[in-house]
Amino acid sequence: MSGKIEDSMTKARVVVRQDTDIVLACQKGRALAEQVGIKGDSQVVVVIAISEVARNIVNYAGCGEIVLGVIGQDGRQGISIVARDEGPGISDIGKALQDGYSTGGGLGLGLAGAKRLMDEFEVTSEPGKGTTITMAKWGRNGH
Amino acid sequence: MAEVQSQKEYFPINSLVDVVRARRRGLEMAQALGFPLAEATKIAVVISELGRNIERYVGQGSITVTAHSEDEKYILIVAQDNGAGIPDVDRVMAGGYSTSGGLGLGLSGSKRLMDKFDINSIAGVGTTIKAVKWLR
Repeated sequence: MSGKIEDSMTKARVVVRQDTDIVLACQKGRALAEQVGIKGDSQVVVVIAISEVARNIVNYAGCGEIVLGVIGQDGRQGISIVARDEGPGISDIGKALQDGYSTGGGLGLGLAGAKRLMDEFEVTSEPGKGTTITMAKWGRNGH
Repeated sequence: MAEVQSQKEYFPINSLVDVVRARRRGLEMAQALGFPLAEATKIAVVISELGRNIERYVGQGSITVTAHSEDEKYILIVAQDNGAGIPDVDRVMAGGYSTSGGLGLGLSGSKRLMDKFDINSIAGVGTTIKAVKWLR
């Protein structure tokens, strides 16, 4: 699964430090989702997921980046989202993925919400070194 | 699945803690009704969004979540406040959803996550938003 995301074509990169960067990442993500045929509520879902991971960067790491790309397989397209920071890392990923663990900022859904809404979701984190969250959503014709 | 009775729960909204409580309970109710987790999460997002709007712009209000299970199954969310009202509902709904200030999807984003979304806002009296998502 993650192999396809690694093959993604990067379309946008947003440095995330503050709230306005979150808005920018969401806008770029929304535009890219539209381009690859992700519409309606799925498009909102992409925006929600970007908003959550970008919010985490601002709140917990201070600075990081969101890389948006296009993925394709068997004639369908999707969007890949990689959120990367060199912040304190997540000491207990299992706990971070529990609903309600995150209440600050964002839509309050935290990583658990983003995971449930996306087709693919993976977190790697090392305390003291940072966190990388990789997610993907496929366009409708793939379902 | 065993037939569940319709269920209605009322959540006063005075703080973000109240919003989180309503959102979590709404997620549980939607799942209990039979919504898959991703769909239940969309409902939770909308509860969160409407609750935050109340908390942010009005200060207090309420959210009522109904899990309707007789004949047709759906979740009804009613968000109510006695605030200043939304001055121009059409403009708010026409505006692209965004995360203005890094928060929220806006009402038009919330609408896209639901099947039915009605806003009744009267200046100086308050706002009532009714949103429905049917179980398919």
